[in-house]
Amino acid sequence: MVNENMVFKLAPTGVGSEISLSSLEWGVITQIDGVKTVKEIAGNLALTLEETYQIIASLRKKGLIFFDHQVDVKVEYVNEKVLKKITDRLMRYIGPVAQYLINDVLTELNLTADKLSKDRLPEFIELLSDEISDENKKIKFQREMLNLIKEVKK
Amino acid sequence: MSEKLIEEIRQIESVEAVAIISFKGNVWQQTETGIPRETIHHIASYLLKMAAANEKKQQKLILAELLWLNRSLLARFSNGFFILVIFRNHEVVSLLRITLNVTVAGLLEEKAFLKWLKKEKSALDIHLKKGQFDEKEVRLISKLV
Repeated sequence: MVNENMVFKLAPTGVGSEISLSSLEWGVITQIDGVKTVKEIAGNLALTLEETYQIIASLRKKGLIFFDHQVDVKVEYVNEKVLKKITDRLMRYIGPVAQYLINDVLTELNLTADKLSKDRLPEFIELLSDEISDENKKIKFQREMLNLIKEVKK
Repeated sequence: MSEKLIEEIRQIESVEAVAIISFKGNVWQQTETGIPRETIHHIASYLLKMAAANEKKQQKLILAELLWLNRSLLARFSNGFFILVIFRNHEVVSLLRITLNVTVAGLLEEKAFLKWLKKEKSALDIHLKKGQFDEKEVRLISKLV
């Protein structure tokens, strides 16, 4: 299984037979240097992590790249108080359904309340705010959340 | 005030350039960056053509996300103007989109900006009439009209 902290290298010799690559596979292969993590490659090519995982797996299967090492990354999670604050604020705009929506969005992101990293907080907020149909309320919520994101990052 | 708004965007990790551009193609404000102003104008011109083509099809372009030379471009359109952001790390795109929404709302509350915007009022379709187009572009445009 490929994960975001893995680093790959190009296979030293050719695989012997002719291989066709998609443009995305070409894009990823140009980024493989034994230094960049899968996450960095995804970022550089504006791909989602899931897309990048698939491409890396395919390149690996074709024998063009191999796993070199994994980078240790300390993940910082959003604490309970912050999540409570988000829930309270969202409730002001969409009512008691806020709690259900928060659970839905966490599920959509393959996360749980205790595993929401600070890095993914903006993505989480954006998905929540997309559910506010009134444009003015949406902006107000986003404005409040931007301040919260800044506080969390300090 | 708009300087402060633009600065908020610029401070986001990996952001290299921010510009607020009218539908006429003029710049209200732009951060000082390593990217030449002519390049920003060139990108803006393409984005305005995109917005104009969408308008021809009765579609309103709100957000455009493109790749450009190992960088990402994000353009948030509103009535009469758009904000262009050039950045490197695509992980910040959600934070940028939220910040741009808030910035657009902030700009629309700023008197000096609204005064400038009024002067800059322009129909988007001029961008499909001026400038140089290759054959493929001309064919595409003719299909829109």
